[in-house]
Amino acid sequence: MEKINEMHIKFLSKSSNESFARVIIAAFASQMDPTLEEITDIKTAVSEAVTNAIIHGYEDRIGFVEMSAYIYPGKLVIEVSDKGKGIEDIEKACQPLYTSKPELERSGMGFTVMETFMDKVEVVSGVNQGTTVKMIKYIKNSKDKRS
Amino acid sequence: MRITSRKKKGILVVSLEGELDHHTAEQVREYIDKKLEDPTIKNIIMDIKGLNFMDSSGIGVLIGRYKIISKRGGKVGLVNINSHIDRIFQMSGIYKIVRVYDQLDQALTDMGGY
Repeated sequence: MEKINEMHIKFLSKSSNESFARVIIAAFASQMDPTLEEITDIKTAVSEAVTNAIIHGYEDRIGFVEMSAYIYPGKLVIEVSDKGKGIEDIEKACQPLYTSKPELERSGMGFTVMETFMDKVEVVSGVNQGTTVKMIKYIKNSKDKRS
Repeated sequence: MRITSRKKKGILVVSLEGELDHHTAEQVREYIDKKLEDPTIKNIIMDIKGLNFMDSSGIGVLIGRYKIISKRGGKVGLVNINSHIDRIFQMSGIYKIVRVYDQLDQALTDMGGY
């Protein structure tokens, strides 16, 4: 499938960058002419992935979070990566309501939200190497699909 | 995030305007918990009409406040939930522990604010 556009961005794992990442992905995805609901779904999933990188990937230290996005006809692919501590047991981490940080009042719903709002979510992680979350969203009435 | 509140007959009515994520959740948590130092507050109503974004961090904030309020024998109510936020609440199961109202007046009446 022909790639139409792509972007890469890198920012510090500061919680103030969660809203920054949402604005960036919304602006990039807007060229596909998505519905307001699709944009909100994408922003929410990105917010969860970036928050996970900040809280769980880097914990108390600051590192870089990278976000890439690729536009194909009718399809948006997003990758959010950190070079933090990684996830030992991905299956457990993705279970609804599981959180390794209940003391921070985390609900354990991050991956469930990503899986609900996106069409596909894949997690690749290595202990002490970092985590990459790859998400796919099909944009139903995308401009590229129509033309 | 803009947070405002008022107290009415033992009910703390908190209005949130802006985006509720992990970053702003801290601010909301601190604000409400400071207000809850007042022991005469029994119930909380959260009016989220002005909340134009929320991720799963919002669930954590709600559950945390629910725990404090339920220890006092009180209740948590939610008003003005938009369809996007409703989907996140639905998947979290939070509706089992909080009350939902379409309008603030209904919430106040039901929780004894009038």
